Amino acid sequence: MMHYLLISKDGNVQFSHYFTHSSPSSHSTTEARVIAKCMSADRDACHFLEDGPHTLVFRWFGPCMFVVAADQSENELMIYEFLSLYVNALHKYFGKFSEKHILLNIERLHMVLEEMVVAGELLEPSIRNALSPIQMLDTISSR
Amino acid sequence: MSSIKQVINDAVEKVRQPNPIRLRDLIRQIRSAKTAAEERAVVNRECAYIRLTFREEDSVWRCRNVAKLLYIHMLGYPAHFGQMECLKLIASPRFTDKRIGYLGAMLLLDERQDVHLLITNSLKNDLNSSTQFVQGLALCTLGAIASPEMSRDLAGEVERLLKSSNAYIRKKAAVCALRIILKVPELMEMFLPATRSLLSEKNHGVLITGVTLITEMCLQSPDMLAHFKKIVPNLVRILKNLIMAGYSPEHDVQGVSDPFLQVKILKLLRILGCGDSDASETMNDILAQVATNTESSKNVGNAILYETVLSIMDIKSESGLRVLAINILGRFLLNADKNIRYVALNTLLRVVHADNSAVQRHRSTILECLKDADISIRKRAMELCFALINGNNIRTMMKELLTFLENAEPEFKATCSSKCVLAAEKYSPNVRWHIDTLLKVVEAAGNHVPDDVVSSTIQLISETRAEQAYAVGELWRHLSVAQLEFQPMIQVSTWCIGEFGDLLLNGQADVTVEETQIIEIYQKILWSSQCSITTKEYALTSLMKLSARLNQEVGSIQQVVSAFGSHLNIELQQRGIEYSQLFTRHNHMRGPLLERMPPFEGVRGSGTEGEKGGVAITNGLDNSPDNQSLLNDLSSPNNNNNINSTHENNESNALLLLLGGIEPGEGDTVQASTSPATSTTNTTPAPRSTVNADILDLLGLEPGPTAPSSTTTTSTSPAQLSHTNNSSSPALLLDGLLNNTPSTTTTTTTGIAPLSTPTANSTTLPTNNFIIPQSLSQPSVPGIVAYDKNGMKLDMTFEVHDSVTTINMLATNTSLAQVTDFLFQAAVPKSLQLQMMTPSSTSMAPSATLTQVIKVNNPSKVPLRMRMRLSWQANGSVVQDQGEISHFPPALWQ
Repeated sequence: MMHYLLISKDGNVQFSHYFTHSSPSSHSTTEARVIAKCMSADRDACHFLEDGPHTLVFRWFGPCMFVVAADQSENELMIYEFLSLYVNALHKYFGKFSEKHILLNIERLHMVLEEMVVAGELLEPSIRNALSPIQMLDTISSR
Repeated sequence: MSSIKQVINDAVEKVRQPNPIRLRDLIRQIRSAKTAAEERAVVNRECAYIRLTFREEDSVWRCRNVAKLLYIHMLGYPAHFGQMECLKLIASPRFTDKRIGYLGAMLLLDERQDVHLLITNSLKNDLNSSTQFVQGLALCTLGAIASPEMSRDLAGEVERLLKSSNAYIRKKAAVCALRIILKVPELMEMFLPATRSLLSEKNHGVLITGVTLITEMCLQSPDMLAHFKKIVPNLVRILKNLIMAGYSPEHDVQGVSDPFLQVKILKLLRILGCGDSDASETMNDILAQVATNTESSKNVGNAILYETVLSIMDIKSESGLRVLAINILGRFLLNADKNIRYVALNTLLRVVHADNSAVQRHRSTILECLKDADISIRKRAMELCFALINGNNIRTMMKELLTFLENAEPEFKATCSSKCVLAAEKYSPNVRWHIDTLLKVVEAAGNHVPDDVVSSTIQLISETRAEQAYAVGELWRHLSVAQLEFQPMIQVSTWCIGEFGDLLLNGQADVTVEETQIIEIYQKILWSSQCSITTKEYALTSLMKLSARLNQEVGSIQQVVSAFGSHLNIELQQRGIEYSQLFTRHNHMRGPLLERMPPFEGVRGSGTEGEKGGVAITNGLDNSPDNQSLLNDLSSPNNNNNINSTHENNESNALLLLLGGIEPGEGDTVQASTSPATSTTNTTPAPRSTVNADILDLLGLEPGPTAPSSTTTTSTSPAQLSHTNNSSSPALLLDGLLNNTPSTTTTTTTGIAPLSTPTANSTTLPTNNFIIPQSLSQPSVPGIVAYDKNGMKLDMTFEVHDSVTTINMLATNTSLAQVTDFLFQAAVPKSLQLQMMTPSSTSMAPSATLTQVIKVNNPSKVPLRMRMRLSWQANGSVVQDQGEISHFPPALWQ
């Protein structure tokens, strides 16, 4: 089970989504610790780190680092692959996904993620199926 | 006048700018802020504005304002005041409002009960909505925030949606069901019929969530596991279709057809096939097929292979298949990609207990990984190496591990050295090798050696009579060229040289040493600023021991020791004074007193077991009080009743007065001075009392009339004392000798024992200057620390009278600031009544205290819990915190 997903740029958290519920007051300390931990690893180093009961899986896409904290029983390579699935979905949704979308369309990032992962479990492995409800809603609301 | 102007200006401003700024504009403003203060100002202004609109119940811009608030929350500013607005948005009929509302609920909601109740109602409405998107949204939220109560209330709705004809709803309902059974396992039965039909689905989304749900059910309950055994053929068929199917653009990832689903199925197969030969039989072929047909050049392929290997090793698979799996891992280990290597080590670690010999084949590759640049890989490799050590390979493995230990990061050194000690303990081929290895471990780990390694090493040397001369020779060689910055090595060396110094001098140790050389080294250690106090304690006691082993240099030893009588550190000073007494007044006992310690008995490395919990107290340069008492326990000067003559009379007599009103100067009072580090404990196990009695006996038996004053000094040699303890209970001796936590030293109870009988003032009344005042104020129930944060500490002590518990709370200001307006509020469960008395004060200077009495009536004797809220002012700002105290001692209600 995945617990949260963070996107960070230059060491700042730009986006955070929690799949399982935890107290909001603890979020900022967790995020700061996790980001610092992942930033300190070399770029060509192993992308899995231990963090208490969780495994951190992080992956760089351009200037942005995506981090997922998952249970240790999860398949790390698959989580690593999931991150690229998510980024591909964002690419497909925005046309060309870049960090400005994280800033200006943050709720869209949440929406896409919600169509792919609920309660920390992968819901939809197909990008097309994941995006179709969002795109349908977009056309309805723009009408 | 100016304030009126301000108000008018504000009003004009408001009319001029009727719409709140958009999220985009807010982000721009925040981004263009040049300093943190500027950013804070922008955020604060916006927050104030948002609060205002919330108060005005402005529903038009609510959505926009909550969206901004979520962004502000993301930046780390408090945004909890938006919780209720989120709920209002959720109740709105507009989809966009609902969407933001639910998003806000997921991000902002904490455990507040009332809000949860409200949201449960909204969720229930939305789950019954006629629009699939509204239902989907509600399911997403429920999956994320479900609490046990919510799960119970909404399980019925989720079960109905699980049977929906719409795949979009069905897959979301499946993960919700998963969350619900995680929270409330009893509800599992309810979902069973609907779950089974999920597997006959074409839609991959439903399949993958169905498989995940079944996996969780099987993990939770053995009944479910047995029930789902029969779906193994279905799973095999699905997996077969996946790998046989041609290219399908929808689910293709780098040329592999839906790896996510494949991995989930493999995981479920592993759980179903574990320990079941029939099920394993059914899946053998497909696992072999996956293992051979999967392309391993890409990450996805490797992810599937990784899962396959785990499955093969976990189920009762054919031996050929196992060889295949181990070979795949071998290939992984040589892969250039570090992720793959990490995964390989991780997997080997998981299968090493099942198939040690197969993993041994990759030993050399694993040892290579110890030298990897990557920290995660090295950590796994280290753990794996320790799992691979056996009697045959211990020599080579230990050599590699010692090299690793030398160059390892500090965070590894403590665990690695502890594990080295354990492994050497278990598999050492001979004692000489064992000693050599331990010494190398202590040397290689520098200052990061945990205390248990130091004591294990000392214990080993003390036990093996035949190798003592060798060991002491080796240690002398280390010490004579030692870098004084590494404490543990010096501690081991000084202890051994102190004990076995005579072997060093009479030439048995294969080195020639002059007595002057020894004194020189000791002087270097004792006056070095690099050595910690603990090390100096070791050295001083060791030097004292040497005074009974050396012949010519006793005079200079006396000089050094007495110089410590004025040392700034109280422990060293006390030792200095006590030891110099042994040269003067009690010179005749010095010999017997400083005899060699008897060999330790009991299981070595018992401390190491506890160390596995992860808390390693490293014996570095920092001097925590815990470390200080180690030496006390080792050489037990605290047990041998050397009286610190400087402060004995006044203080202890005052205490005797307290105890039973004895006139100072009356009665033969035997004093046992204990080290300040010892503290009382109320959890002393019963057998202790026998040791106590022994100590008391010992004290009573030796009323040495040496001192003419009213107090009688008794000196017992450590060896003698140890013998006495030893005879009654060797395990306890070890407690005292090896355990460096002060609360378990045997002496602690000596202070408490006479408390119950204050009349026992005539003959033997061992008092302890430091223990008794505490024991007097200590009630029958142990106190707790209720809070210790933000420079505020709350200690609670308890008195119980029938159903009423009186809690005496002592608040201490541990910060450096003046605390004012201190307010402590508390709440207890409904069946209890709470009465708060007025506190003794509401302000505290730095390190000052205040007290407050709280009475709790607990007629039904339920476990006591308390919610508390604290607030005070310090440095002009208000500090607030709240929390729950749930660690009250059970004795309060039993």
